[in-house]
Order: sequence, then structure tokens, then C-alpha cells
Amino acid sequence: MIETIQLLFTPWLLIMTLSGVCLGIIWGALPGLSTTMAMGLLIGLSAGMSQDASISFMLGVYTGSVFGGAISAVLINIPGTPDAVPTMIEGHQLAQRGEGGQALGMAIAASFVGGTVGIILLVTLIPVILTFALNFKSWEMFWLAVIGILVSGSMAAGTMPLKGWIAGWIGMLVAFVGLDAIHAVPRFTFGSFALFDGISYVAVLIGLFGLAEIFRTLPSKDIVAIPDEVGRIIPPLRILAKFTPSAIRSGVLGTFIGAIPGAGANVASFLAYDIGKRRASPEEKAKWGKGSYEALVCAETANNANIGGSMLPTLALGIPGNAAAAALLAALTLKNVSVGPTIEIDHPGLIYFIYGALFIANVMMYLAAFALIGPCVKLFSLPRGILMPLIIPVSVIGAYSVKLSIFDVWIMFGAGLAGWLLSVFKFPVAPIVLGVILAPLADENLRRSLFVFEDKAWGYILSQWIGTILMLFVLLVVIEGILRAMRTNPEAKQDAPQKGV
Amino acid sequence: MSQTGNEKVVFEGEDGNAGYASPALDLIATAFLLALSGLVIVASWRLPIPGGLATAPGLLPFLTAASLAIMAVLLGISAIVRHREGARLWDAGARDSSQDGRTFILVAAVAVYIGGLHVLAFQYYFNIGTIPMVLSAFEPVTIIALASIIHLFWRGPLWITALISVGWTLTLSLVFQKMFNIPLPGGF
Repeated sequence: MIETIQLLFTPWLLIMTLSGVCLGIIWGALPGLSTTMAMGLLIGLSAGMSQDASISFMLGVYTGSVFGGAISAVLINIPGTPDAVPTMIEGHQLAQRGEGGQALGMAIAASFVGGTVGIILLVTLIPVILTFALNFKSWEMFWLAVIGILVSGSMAAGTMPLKGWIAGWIGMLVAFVGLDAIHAVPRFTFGSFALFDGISYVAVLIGLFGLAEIFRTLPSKDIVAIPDEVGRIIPPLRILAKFTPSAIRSGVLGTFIGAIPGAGANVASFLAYDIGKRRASPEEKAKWGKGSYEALVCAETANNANIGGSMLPTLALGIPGNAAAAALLAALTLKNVSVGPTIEIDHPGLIYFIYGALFIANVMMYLAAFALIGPCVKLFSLPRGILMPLIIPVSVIGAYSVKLSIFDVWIMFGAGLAGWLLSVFKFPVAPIVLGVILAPLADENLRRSLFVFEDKAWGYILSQWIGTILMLFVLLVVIEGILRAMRTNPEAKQDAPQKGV
Repeated sequence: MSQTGNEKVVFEGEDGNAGYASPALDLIATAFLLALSGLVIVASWRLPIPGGLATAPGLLPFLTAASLAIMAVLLGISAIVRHREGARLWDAGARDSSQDGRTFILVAAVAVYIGGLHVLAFQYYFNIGTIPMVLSAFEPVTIIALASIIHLFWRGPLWITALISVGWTLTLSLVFQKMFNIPLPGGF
């Protein structure tokens, strides 16, 4: 434990965490550049680092970029990340009243509280989940992987879960390409040796979240108004103290939402925002939607607490909590770190390192955020026509650097094009990433368990009670999705509105 | 967007854009998905079975493709039902297609850029003082591609475009190659 703490405070790792946090804040602040995009693209950069530096850097990027979305949301009324939409609704109203700086100060403080609540709950709950997860065998791991993909699809596609599930299934098909893990039989390679290693999920991730976003936003002709100054940033202590109970409640909520595979920071921030409104005093409730500090605190606390929450299933089960956590999982895999129920046996001490790195990243986010608001305002004045093309070579390097293969760059290009087409056809892309990452887990574990069950009766299979509960949960997710689609307002089905952020 | 008046908050998933498309788009998607799943079903059926059926390499791909086909049919049925309920087959207002031309140019430019890195790969070693350096196709191809793409989407002075392209390319080259020892595409 002491060795881990000493390691975390080595200057190089602190510099790496700070670099990750700063890059994350700036990235998240720039409209159109999401947390997952930041994580996906910077995997390439982390590939050249040591394992410790890579983890510190990526956790810094994750923490920084989730907060960064608040800066553009408050100041220019464009959420840098989708989870910053409630922050935009409240924060920009405050900015128009000349309280933009103070709104950002509140967002920074709330993000810090949220991050801390998430880490505390992560540290508290993970031993319980790990102990329980050790009972999971192949059959249970297969169903867990299916749940991860299904829930992600269900959450990502809003009123039409079917499209989310289809996206997840497409991701699974992508992952089946290459040599199979048990018999080394080439699957869907069509004679191409380049496909024997499979399709790189890092390239797919960068294509879907990096290049596709550039294809979507660069041709757009929107013009953004940039503020000249932001005013006082540090909020008065009495305001901070007043909203502490709301912050803690939203933090707990955000953490638990984060622990559900597929439920990202945006679901957490919207839910906390909505619950916050229901529980607010009549006086505060009247301000909701017109510039409420409490609403801002609820949303920002929840989306940062989501980071700790998303790490729970990622570390304990190897099932990413959301697309950004999936990118973190990819970065860990590149460093030969296999997460899951046996993480403490396979990598003793690593889990404490991750707790510590998350905590340091959270503190650094708090300090760096105040310093970076000014430079971010300057960056907003950069035309999109300059900013977005600069990301193209970063995407190319990111895809190339994992296996030093230009073939992977073409895969990234194909994934980018597919991501753009999917957005035209209104399919979500996050479930594809979950599908690509979880399909090998599902494939291997299904076949192993069927081999074990070969001579057994159905009664024996159903007597594996954890697996049976997980099977029932899959059924529940499907039924809930169908009911949700059926309950959807017919007008919403007919208008098919473009509700992009 | 996500709020109607100040009362109703609409939850958005990871992808704010996802949901109902016009019935015609959903029917095209259905046709594509049926073709894809049919291809995977046939390909997984033809895979060898070295152990037994329980560990067959094509088992999960087959099940995935078969269930994908069922989902595609459901998507198609939902599109037809919505059309019968009054939704226009091609809802032109649901999507802003005015940028499609610019998008196609951008996609082509990125494809030419990656193609350039692929086809024109070379590597040249030299020293600046005592520091060994590597020049590959990455630097010239990226500078040209970046300058072209910026020029297409930003009507600023050409010298600024050139300066940004050169500056950014050299920064990336130095950071990745010298700081993190990561080779760049366009070399060997």
C-alpha cells in the first residue's frame, strides 16, 4: 500500500496525470469533442508509456474531459460533452446574467465533490462485488457480457432500443473476425492474412468516436458567439455549503448509474437534474431552467461521480460501465492488464493504484480547471474549420500506433464512415464499442460452458442460480425495451426529430 | 433539444441522435442488415467444427446473425407500421442534408490522405546536431492533406493555413517519435 502511494507521487506520474487532466479539460471543453473521443484518440499516445504512466494519464483524461464539457456549456451555450446539457440549460442562463464565472466555479466544486463521492463508493463497494464475482464461472460471464451489450443498446437508443441492440450485435459481428480463441480457426477472414489478428477495437473506437464526429461536425456552418470575459470564478462558501446535501445525493445517484453497463454520464446528469428538481424547495424549484445553482450542482456532481461508478463493473467484472470506460479497458488491455474478478490475484496492488490515481486526477482536475478556463475561452475563438482538421492526423496516429499497421488506419477510416452512416440512419454507436469489446468474452465463455453442460440436463443448467438470475435479467431488459418503445408518443415516432446535441 | 419549456426533461442516451428515422431509411437499414446477417449465417455454417457442436467456432456468430436478422425484420415491420400510421416515407425535414456534399469531399480528402501515407511510404534518417531524426511520408503528406482540408473548410489567409499545418505536423511528429517513441505511419 505504502509503495503504491509512493509510486503515485513520483514526479513523472504526477506530470502524466496533470497532462491527462489538462488535455481532458481542454478536449471536453471544445464543442463536438466528447469524453469517449478523447479517451479513444489518446490511447495511441498512452501506448508509448509505461503501464503506471498510461493508467494515470488515461484516468486524468477521463476525469478532465467529463468536467471540461461544462466550460463551453456555460460560456457559449454548447455542451462540450452530451452530459453537460443540463449544465448548459442552467449555466448559460447564469452567464447571461453576468454570473458565468461563478457558475463555472460551482461546476468545478460540484465536479470535485462528485468525483470524490464516486471514488469513495468505488473503494467501499468493489471488495463486495469482487468477492461475489469470484462465484462467476463461464456461464455467468457469458450472460454478463450479453447484459452489458443489451443494456448499453437499451440506454443509448432512447425511444427505440431495437436500434441500440442492433448496433451492439453489429459490434459483436465485427469482433468475430479473426482466429477463434479456442480452435484457432480463421473466421470471416476471406483469405486475408491482415484479418487473422482480428479487427483492432482501438481502430474501431477511434473511427466511431473520432473520425465520425469530424465527418458530422466539420462540414457544419454553425457560428458560435464567444464571451469576452467570465467574471469572478470562485463561488462564495455559503452557496457551496447550501447545496452540499444535493451534491452528495446526486453523487451517490451518479455513481450507481455509472455502475450500470451502458448508462453513461449523460443519463446520470439528466436523472440527478430531474430528481434534484423534484426535491428542491419551492423557491429553488422556481429557478430551475432559468439559472439555478442547485440544478447545476446536481448535474455536475452526478456526471463526475459517474466516473467512479463506471469503474466498478469495469474493474470487478471486466464489463465496461460506458463507452469511455470501454476505451480505458482497451488502454489497460494494451498494457497486458486483464481486469475482472481475478484482478487482485493477477495484478496485486493494481486496484489500489487505480484508486489513488483516480483521487489524484480528481484533485488535479479541481486545481487545473480554475487555471484553464481562460485559455479555453481563447480556444473557443478558433474556427471549427481549423480545429477539427487538426484531429485527423491524431486519429491516424492513434489507430496506427497500436500494431504499427496501416491496415488498422484503413479500419479506422471504415469505422469512421460507418459511424457517420449510422448517425444518418439514427443508430447509436456506443453499443457497437461494447459489442466489439464484450463479444470475445461472450464467445469464449459460451462455448466453455456448453462444453461443461454437454451431458447435463436442463435442470442442472437452471440450478446454476446466478446464471439463471442473469438470464431472467436479460429477459427483463428486452421486455422493458419493448414496453418503452410501445409507450413512445406516436408523434415522436412520426416526426423522427433530430435531437443531436 | 433536451428540454421543453422549463418543465419536461427528456433523457438522452450516449448518442443524442439515435432513435426513429424516416421509414424509408429504416427499410434500407433492414435490407442491409438482412443481407449482412444472411452472409454471416452462411459463412458461420461453413466453418469447420473441430471439437463438437458445443465448441464450434461458428456457434455464436450464427446465433448473433440469426437474432440480428430477426431484429432487422422487426425494424422493417416498425417502419411499415409507422408509414401506415401516417409517417412520410422520406421525411426530408428530419435531417439536414445540405452538408452532404461537403461531407463527401471531406471523406474523400481523408481517404486520399490515408492512401498517400500507404502508397508513398518512405523513411529518411538524418541528424540535427547530435540528435538523430527520422523523416517519413507522414510529414509531407500530412502537411499537404491538412493544409488542403483546412483550406476547404476555413476561408482564412493561405499563409496561416500553411503555418498551422506545418506547425501541427512537426509538433505531432516530435511528440510521438521523440517523447513517446511511437513510430508514425508513412514509414517502414
